[in-house]
Amino acid sequence: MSRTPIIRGAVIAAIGIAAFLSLPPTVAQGLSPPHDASNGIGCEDCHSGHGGGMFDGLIPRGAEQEALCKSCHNPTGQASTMVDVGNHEVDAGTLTIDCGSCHETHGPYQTTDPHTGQTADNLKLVRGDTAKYLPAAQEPAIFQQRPDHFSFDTGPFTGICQSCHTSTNYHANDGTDPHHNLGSVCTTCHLHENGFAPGGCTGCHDQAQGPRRQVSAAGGDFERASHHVRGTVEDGDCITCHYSYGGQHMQMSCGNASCHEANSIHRIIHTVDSGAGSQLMLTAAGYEGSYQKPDFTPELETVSGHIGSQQLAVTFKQGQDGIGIYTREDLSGALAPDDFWLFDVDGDNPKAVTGVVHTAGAYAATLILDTPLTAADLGRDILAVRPRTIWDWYAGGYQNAATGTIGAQAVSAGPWPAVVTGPAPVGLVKTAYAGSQIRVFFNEAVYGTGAGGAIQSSDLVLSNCAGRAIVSIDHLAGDSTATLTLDSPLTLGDLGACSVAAAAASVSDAYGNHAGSTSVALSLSDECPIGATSFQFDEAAGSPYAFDEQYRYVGTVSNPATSLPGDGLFHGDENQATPTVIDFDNSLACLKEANTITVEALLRTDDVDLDYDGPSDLTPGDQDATRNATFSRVFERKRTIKITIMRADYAGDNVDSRAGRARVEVKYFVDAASRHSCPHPQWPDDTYQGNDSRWHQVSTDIDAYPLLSDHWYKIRVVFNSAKTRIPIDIWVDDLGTDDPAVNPDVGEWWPGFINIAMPDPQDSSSCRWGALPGDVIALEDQASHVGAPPGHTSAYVMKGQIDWISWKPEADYTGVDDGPHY
Amino acid sequence: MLGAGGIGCKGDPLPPDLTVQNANRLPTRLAQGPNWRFYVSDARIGSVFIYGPDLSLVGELKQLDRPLGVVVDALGQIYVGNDGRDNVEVYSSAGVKLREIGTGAIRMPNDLDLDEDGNLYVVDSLNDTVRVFDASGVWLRDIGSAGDGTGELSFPAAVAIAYRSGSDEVYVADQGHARIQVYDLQGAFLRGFGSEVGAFSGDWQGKFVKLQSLAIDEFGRLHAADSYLNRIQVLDPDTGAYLDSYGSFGTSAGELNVPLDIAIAFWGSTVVANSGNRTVENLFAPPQP
Repeated sequence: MSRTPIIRGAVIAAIGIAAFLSLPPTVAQGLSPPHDASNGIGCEDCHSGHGGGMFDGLIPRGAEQEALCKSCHNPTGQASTMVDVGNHEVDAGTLTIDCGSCHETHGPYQTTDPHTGQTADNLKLVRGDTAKYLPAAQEPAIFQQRPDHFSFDTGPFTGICQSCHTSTNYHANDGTDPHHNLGSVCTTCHLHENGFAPGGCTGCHDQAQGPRRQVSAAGGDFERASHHVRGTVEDGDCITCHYSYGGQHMQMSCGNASCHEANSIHRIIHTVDSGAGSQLMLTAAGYEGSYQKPDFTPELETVSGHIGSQQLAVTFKQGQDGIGIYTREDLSGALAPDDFWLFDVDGDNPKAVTGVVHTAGAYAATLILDTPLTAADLGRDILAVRPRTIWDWYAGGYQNAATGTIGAQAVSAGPWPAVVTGPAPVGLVKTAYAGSQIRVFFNEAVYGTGAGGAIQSSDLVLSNCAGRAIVSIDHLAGDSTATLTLDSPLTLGDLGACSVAAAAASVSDAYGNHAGSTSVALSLSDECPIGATSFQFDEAAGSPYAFDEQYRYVGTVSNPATSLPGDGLFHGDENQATPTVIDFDNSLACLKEANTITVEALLRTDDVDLDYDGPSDLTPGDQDATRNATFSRVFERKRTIKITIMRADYAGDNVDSRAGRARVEVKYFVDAASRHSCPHPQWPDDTYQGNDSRWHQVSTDIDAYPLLSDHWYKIRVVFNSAKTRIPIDIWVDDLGTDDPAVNPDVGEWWPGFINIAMPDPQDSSSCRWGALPGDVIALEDQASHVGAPPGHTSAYVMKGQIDWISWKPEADYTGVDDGPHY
Repeated sequence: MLGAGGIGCKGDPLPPDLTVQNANRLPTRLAQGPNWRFYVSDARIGSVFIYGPDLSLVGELKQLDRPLGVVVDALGQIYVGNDGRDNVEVYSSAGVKLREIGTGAIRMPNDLDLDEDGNLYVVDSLNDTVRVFDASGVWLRDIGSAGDGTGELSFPAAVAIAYRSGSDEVYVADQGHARIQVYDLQGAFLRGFGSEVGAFSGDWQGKFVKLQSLAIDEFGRLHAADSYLNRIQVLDPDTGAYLDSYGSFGTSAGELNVPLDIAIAFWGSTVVANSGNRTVENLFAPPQP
């Protein structure tokens, strides 16, 4: 460190900081090591505008003070070797003992040990006047040496830990039980960085503590052959055998009570009696019975699940003086997944608790699992409460809970749990609207009453659907979705009105549970198409929506036409003040994270050979260098991929526009991992592109293969990140109409494939704007559009017609004459 | 618009070496890697935790000593500044240790970055410099040296490399001087800006107390996180002029509490290693220019 203290000295002198802060007489005035110029520290390092105005230069209290100290006392900071710091939360979190309550950072505090008469500086800048912020503290706090001065066993009880403690079980300043691990370094188990809270089982037992054995970590008991816990031992492992309650854990003696029956941990008879009435019985049939513990300890009383369900219903025992179950020691907060530990005994169906439905204080809760229960889980899996995580009140103390078992009671094929947070019970979940089809979704595999277990028409009921009837149902036994075909097309008015329900005793799951009868109204789909699909734009005249052929990807027609004309074409026309756009923002999840894409469109761009600047420009070929109307956006997935027909007649492109040429341009968004940061040859001053994610673009060769005339082109774009060179190929098929033999006035003709007019990707001077091997289109949760995107409707208008657009999640090179281009 | 089939790196399983065994207790430094993952060192646990783009925990590179700086190249190779071993260790995307860089020459590898050529920039805070190595670990040069003069450094805390005008620039958070020093890739000093917030002063715009980390956004703007002010400032990369700021101190979600590192996510928001709250969080995207 070489920070200069010159200015800082002036600041100190000018402000007279010692008087300002009223330092105690036993502390050096101003700054002293280590918080001084020797470490490059000046007043402003602590007394600046903390938080930008919320703090006037005085040291804040509580969490803000902790943050202030940690701005240096962190692994990356100037005090990186002293990072085990943190506030001390006491009295169930109602009182925060912050750093300054125990430490005086302006210099060491000299004390005299009343037991020995020795006068010395307290270690670790521990202040002696602890009553300054904690009036009940006994002064002076002594901490001249470790470990003896954490706590004295004779009065005055002014070891640094004792000095303030008035209500702890051990080491209080009234002399309460000073012998708990006396002579140990308190912070070995009560980590300073944890605010001196004990660090769970493994926080202490990863090393020997006086008479206590080292259980976990290298060299611990669990490296011995007789122990079945291997690898990293976590707290959850410990409570398999050592149930925890009342802040204590049960001792276990394998020598007295046999753990194992017949060499399998799955067939355990394990009886433990802690002497406090606790007992656990595990039998060959699994874990049975319940864990009998003192009445005052909150504990799981029942745990029940249903085969196929992803829920567990749990109840807690209401103990003596119980006032409810909470997640925090101050008796507040609803339970959370982290409060529980679910152990799949035989390892056949591991699962985790992902959610908890619980009202703070309630003695019942519903746990949401990530995996359905199987028959083998019942009577075997163990649900436990993590040590020291849930709390109730009894006779003057907080207690944490212990364990219960799944299958303590026989579970029959009864109703599903009533709580449906998370995975729903069997029932209709979602419908999609389009044409004459409705898609119905269940949350699991279902069966109907039709042939082979398929759902048939009588299994589902239509309501409020303008008299429409189900003509047929496409469903395979065991599928979770079914597609209904109706006798007439749905209309916009059916949305939110027409609904579907399961008929009574019809749809069921693999366990024979019937679906509920709840009706679910039609809503627009938010699904993505599966595999290849296309837009045909052949919806009936007046339809405000455009659908893909799977009726999953739904776009809204807007500006100015609010409906489709019914001629099977998308009409883009910048002669309109606000051109037509189809906005697909209801399916945000589609076309993301793509490694391969094939997009194809059949389209006709109008006025390619006109120098068209907008509705008022009636003079072809006047070479107005206006960028407007030179772009025709075919398709855009925002920050994913864009396909554009671009006229190259604006200034700076150095292309003779008198002939009116256009090219196909593809932009795709690439994340920073494959960024290309070479300068663009034509925009060398383009400086604000950053070095992170950006668009990359490739286009067809406008000189060799220009788009010239107004007729139909089929354009295919294939993106394939697995290619060894350029990941993009573009083909333009002029459908033979440009063959000079067919159309001599045009004079353009090419066989099909169009070169990508991009720089050589191996050329580091220009690679940034091109496509490189390994590019993967980045994901972005934004809408898609056909035509000009909202907000850019004047510049990116699609001028012409699109007959159809198709895509598929694979690289499709079939039918092209000379690709792919490696 | 593409269907779900056949798409996606997000769900690719990680090899067993990267199975998660611990919780991230002290998010320290972070980097974004390919497949939209985030790599967050934890100097207390001694691991680099790997998060998916939704910041769900998907992997853990374990048995590091005291990892600080981390950066991931396009191949997914993980560079870890290992403070406990005074070097930079390189691991394959599968967690296999490949090589060590700078052993014996680095005292505190606080932050890392890579340039376009794959050269590694190691902020060595205790040596008051940025050491540059090629991809194989050969030392190339130092950028900045100890001192209080122009271009000199005192406890540099972070580095960020930005594409600028056809040549990259190296931004160094000069924490000890509460300023940002800008160099070219060869280490030639270009410009500097920023100063320390005065004692008892609330004038903090464009100034720092504990300048902790830097990031460049899509628009080239410089984001500077201050672990004391608990605020991220957006600065003009040419002048250092204050443009905007975001974040404020607090212990709730979305609030900053000793932010030790930031990265601009591919989707524009800022991911922060929020050490005091023990979280890795996605903050709202800063205002765009």
